[in-house]
Amino acid sequence: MINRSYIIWMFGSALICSGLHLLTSKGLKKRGLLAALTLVFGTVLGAVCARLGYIIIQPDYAIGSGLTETLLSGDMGLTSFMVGAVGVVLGALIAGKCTGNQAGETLYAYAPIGALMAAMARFGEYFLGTICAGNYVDNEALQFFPLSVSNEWGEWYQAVFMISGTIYLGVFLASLLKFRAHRFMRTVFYLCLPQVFCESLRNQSLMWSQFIRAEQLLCMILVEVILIILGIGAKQEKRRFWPAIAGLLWAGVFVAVEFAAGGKIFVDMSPVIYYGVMVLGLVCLGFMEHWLITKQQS
Amino acid sequence: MKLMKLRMALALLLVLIFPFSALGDTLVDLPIDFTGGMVPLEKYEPGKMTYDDPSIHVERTYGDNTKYDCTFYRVDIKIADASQLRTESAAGGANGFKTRQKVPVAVMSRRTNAVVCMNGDYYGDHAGSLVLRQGVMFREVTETLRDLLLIDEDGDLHVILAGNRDTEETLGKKQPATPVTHEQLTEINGKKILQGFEFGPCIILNGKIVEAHPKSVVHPPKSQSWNRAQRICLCQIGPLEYRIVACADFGLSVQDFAKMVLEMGGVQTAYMFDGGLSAQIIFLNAKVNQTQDKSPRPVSDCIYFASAYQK
Repeated sequence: MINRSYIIWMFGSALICSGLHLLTSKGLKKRGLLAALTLVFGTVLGAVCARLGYIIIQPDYAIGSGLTETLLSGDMGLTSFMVGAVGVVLGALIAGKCTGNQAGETLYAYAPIGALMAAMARFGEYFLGTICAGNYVDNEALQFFPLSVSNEWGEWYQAVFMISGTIYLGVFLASLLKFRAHRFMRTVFYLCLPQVFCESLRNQSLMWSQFIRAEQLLCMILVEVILIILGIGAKQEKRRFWPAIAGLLWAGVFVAVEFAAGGKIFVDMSPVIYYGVMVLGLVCLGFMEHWLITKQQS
Repeated sequence: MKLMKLRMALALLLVLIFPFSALGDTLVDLPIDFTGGMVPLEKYEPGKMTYDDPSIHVERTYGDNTKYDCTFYRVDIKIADASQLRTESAAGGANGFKTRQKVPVAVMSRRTNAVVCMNGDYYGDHAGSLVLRQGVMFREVTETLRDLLLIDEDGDLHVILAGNRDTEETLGKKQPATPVTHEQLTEINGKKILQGFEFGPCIILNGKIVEAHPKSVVHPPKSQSWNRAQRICLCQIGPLEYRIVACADFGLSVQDFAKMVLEMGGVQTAYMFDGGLSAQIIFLNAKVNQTQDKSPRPVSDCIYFASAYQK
């Protein structure tokens, strides 16, 4: 079943983003064509990569349900958000190449637009029903939108995608107005960082080996890679190893916290503590990134 | 004559206008799909141990088994038609079994008007397993080292033991694993298979305790069968007669659980489902077994018994 509302929302969002892309790509060559090509390539590659990502991440699941059927299914839930995002960025890069712009400049101009598109895509998950939501909400006082979303049986689920979307909007503004150096990398960092937590809240995620939330892991890897690049890739006198090491140590703690939160290991603690530890760690990583950037710029 | 015709016309009119009141309360055929059952006649209240309507009889008990040092929960169910034994996914609807969504069993119970409901095989947590529900094959992959439970259109439980062993001749003997064929999963003795689960192990078959295949998978994979854990199983005790048995924290080993279930009497087939915090028995939308977790673990699916009685 094709979800028309979702497709219309995504196309509308892509068009708005294209319009804004014209504004952010001032100074680039053929910016009208660049925005148009980014729209076309981004849409096509985003959709293809999102579906392929879903199949690659959980091949057993996809093949078990019928590979061709999964590949051609109109079910918009059978997608990988992260791999889809990679496809969109790839589309932007190809568009940049076609218009004779350098990759760095293209990504610098596209970073805030990508964040906005990511936010809109998250908000669009409203149209996918409760498959993109969090856990069942038993407390009647919390059963209202935008905190929760309901399904056809009147059951309410946490609207986790609204949290992601709202944070992404903040990242869009920060990327547009604040990020000057390493704009693309910083945008990716701050899109991935909160998603590590949000993935944990989601009712269902793409899984690797039955118990690893694949997109959460990808976000963690990207966060760590960016910390390494920012810390070690700087000039020799400004190199800092400890944020990357702290990030790795945090990843170890995070795995234990995630398993405890998911009930894989039983620890008699309130979920507020699990998630509190998780958020605290992520905030620390955010501070480290900010500190690295400040050090580089000083 | 004219008066008689008038009376007959009046009677016919009444039957046409009020068909149900004319015929009385009815048993309906529940469709083999993903809709729920009829709304039960009664609601749960603490201490309620039975439920009765013309289509289903449920009786539950619980207590301490001193021999095995455990608290057990037992629900006996007798239904009028096999269509009352149904399955539901956490996401619900026809495509629900294609998702990995999870909800507590009580949510699925409320949605489907279940009289009795138990957790299923948590298919969303293990990708390489069979998912055949309400006559629809959602995932036709099997792990040869897991016991398969198949339920036919007459509501009879059949088990394909790990390694695809011949259940009659080689019960308990070591045999190499052979793949399960499509035919085995879709039809048994000319009867269509409506439900297929892959969890296990099967602990009782033909009224005897089953010796596990030497390499068979026990869930969760790291938990050994001799460990004490909360266990839950679905049993068949006769045509359209079933039993759900669970044990509480600290639980039992698989072997002791099998012995306890067998000693309850009458069990022909018993197949274990996801235990631990997933083990949930819901009676008229209330959880009636105890697990160590304060709030029930959300799971992928459930098996439920519905009423087919329309008042």
